[in-house]
Amino acid sequence: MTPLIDGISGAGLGLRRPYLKAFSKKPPEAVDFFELAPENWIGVGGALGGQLRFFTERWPVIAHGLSLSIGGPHPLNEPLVRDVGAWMDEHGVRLYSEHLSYTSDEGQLYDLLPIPFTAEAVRYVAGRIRRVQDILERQIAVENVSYYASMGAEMDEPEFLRAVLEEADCGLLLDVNNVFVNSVNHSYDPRAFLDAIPAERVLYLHTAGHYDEAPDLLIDTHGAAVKDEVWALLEHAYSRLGPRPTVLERDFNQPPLPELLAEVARIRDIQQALGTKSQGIAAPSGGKTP
Amino acid sequence: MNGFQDWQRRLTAHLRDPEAHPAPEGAEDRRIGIYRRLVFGNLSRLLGAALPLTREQLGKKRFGLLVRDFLRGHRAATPYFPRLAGEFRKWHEKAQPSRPNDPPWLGDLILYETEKRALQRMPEPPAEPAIDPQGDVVAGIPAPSPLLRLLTLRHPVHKSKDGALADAPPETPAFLLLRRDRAGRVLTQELGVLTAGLLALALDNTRQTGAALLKAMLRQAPPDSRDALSKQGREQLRRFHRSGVLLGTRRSADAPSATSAGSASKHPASARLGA
Repeated sequence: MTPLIDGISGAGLGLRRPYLKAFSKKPPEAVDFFELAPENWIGVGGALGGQLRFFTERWPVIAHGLSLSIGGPHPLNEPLVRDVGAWMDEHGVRLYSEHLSYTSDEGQLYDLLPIPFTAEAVRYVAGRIRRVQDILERQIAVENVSYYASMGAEMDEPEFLRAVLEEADCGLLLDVNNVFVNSVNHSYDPRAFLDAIPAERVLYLHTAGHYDEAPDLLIDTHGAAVKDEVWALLEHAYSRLGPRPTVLERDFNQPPLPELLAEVARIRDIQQALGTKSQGIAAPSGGKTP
Repeated sequence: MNGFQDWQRRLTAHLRDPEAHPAPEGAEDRRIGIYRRLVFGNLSRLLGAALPLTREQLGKKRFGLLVRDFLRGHRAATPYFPRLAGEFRKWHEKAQPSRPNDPPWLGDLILYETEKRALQRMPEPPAEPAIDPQGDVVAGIPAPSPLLRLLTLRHPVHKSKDGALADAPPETPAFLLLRRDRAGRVLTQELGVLTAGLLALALDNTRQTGAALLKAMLRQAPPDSRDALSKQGREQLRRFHRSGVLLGTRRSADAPSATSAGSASKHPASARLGA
């Protein structure tokens, strides 16, 4: 039995600039692996580039992309994919994940915009994911995003996700905070959603905090502590998936480090309470073969 | 065009310019409004973090209007966040003639901030075998460090931390040397006009010796001051060498090897002169 992602298990943290200095002085014991955005680091040298090396040499790392616009109307940015591939090789990065969203029209908007849940969109997006996997010669994972508006859906979100994953033959990065946010914004049962996704494709998970704009409108800000409902949802996900590797994302209103690391430690505690770590879960079916 | 892509394009057209393009139908405006806030807020934050002095000098409101113009008028190509400010600068340089209401110092300030940041993050250039670090920079061909920029600023924007910038520029421009030291810090140094001129010649040069550069520069100086200026110039070249502005001398100007062909091209900083 092999782990889902080579060398990745336990609790991870999204690496952000404000933590770099503190972590390089005192490596955080609570963090089993880091996740970072290649678009923040590719082509960066100097003192900052040197700091990155400190992390990639000490922890396993996952690349979590922001600008690929996998669902965008413009031709796929293949030079970006090749740059990411070269950068992953250079730093020994274990996996590339991206958002199931679009970020551009003829130019970048640098934000995660929604893909309508239609059959046409499934074929289009899956084709682009396959192309990325062909270029990189490895499987990638796509993340379910928070969405606030959509048009003429022909299927529900789990159906859309399942169809894209199957047709692209890729992994899923399951963001439980996004599931919770969407369940409130689009009135569905988050547990039923988790039970409907293809478990064998979940390579790892995300958890994060959100902002309550209104009782029926939550915003995925990554700017607050993880809410109790989301912790409960993470436990529910583990009960079905086993304790798979999970990343805490925190982008704004950074708390004092001990507070942040306590949240990372809580992920590990929940995982350990459920038994052994995520080692030993079978790899998803249909992995790429040469 | 696919139906879903038509909707996606109408959404981005609206997010770029909500006044000119209505939101795609069918979604509650409160929800589309979240995207309006996210896209504009995120872009403002990215550019504000890269251009903190620009944001401070303009103030939040005017900076926001500038970001909106960029979002509306430009299609950003780079997927890389550290390069966004550079793309923003190029957009602004091009758009400047049609922006009469921008403060006159804005172009200089954006240039200063983006160059400083780019220099901080620039990957370490490979060691240059065609350079002799012990070479005599007066008798030989001086080789400038690639980790520097020479800026000519009509407005003293490098002093913008001291307070609001004046719209009227001083009589003489400021010549600014930005240099990355071994610890990765970018040092800012204001140069006198002759020193800046000499460095500009060295940056633009791959064939002439330091002495020849000095001679060419002093052709326009009054004859009775040339000896003294030439002596100062030679001392300055040696100071540049000691401080790392000049790495040493080129071993051969006429036969650059295949691997060092890049070193025989003009210094990237030379293009910035006279900006």
